[in-house]
Amino acid sequence: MLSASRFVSGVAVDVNKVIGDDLDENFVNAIRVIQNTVRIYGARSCSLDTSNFKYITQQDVVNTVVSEAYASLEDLVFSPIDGRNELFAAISSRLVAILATMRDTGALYPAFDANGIQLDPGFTVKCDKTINPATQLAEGLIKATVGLRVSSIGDKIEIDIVKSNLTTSVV
Amino acid sequence: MAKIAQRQVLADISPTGFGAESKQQKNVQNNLPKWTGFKFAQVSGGEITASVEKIYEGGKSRPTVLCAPSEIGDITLTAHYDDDYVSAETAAGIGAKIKGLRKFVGVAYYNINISVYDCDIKDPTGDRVYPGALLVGMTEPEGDSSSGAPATFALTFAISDVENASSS
Repeated sequence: MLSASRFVSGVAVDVNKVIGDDLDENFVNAIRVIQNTVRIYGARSCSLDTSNFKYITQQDVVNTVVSEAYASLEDLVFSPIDGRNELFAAISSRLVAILATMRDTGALYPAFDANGIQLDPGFTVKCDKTINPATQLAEGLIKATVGLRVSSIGDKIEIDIVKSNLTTSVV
Repeated sequence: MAKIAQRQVLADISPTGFGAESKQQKNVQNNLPKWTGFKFAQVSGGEITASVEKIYEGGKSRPTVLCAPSEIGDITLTAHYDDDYVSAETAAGIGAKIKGLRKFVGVAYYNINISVYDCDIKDPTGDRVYPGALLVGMTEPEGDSSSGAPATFALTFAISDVENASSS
């Protein structure tokens, strides 16, 4: 039987911080009451690759790129592979449009150096002759590569509070 | 550092299905005319400007200029009209595309891609992409009984953002 709720009023089992942290370590998302609100406290994935896919949202970002690329590039399937590289440019521009929109919403993480100079926009797109040799094109296969740096999730906030007395300087 | 001619700068468009606004109206985006493979003859606009405020403080002869948000001006794409009413997803059927777009002025989102070509008008290098540009104007082909000049049409887009296509 399926049901749909528009709101929740509480939880049947109150999961405290100790148990919640333990469940989180074991890839279980506890529904907890936090400051009088019911929250799904973290959306852990089952992936053991925690540096890349600790939370399910990061996999969702990658999945979104895949599905949007499918939808956008569908128009170009069965296009002639021209000798003027028009098709490569069309593929690249459509991928850039998707990734730039995701970057603007915060899903991707651009890199900056110490002087604030942008090193990369958080993604790369490549579709050119170097990855599309003529032998491959002859079989009708066009390849493009997309690299992306998915924004991470801040799940802990740590604050060091140092108290000073009247005769010492404030740290 | 080769200089380029204006004819080497070409624009094309494709309907966007991605973005907060366009996702709200999948029914519109899925029914927009496709312009796959079509290159517009002219592209203009897209100037980036900021309306800044200047403050003349008391006793100062020069103003302090405050920072302000910038915005991108509308882009107008112009091409030569033909009366091909065959509906097609390719560059053919301009008459049908214009006919299909009339009811979508103000609601249709397209990606605009600007590329720079070599002198032989090949090997395009992606210059810039305007994702999620909103169609805000359509200029129909004009008539003049004493003119033999080709009839043109124009599409005007309001721009949200610009991305370097060569960021890859």
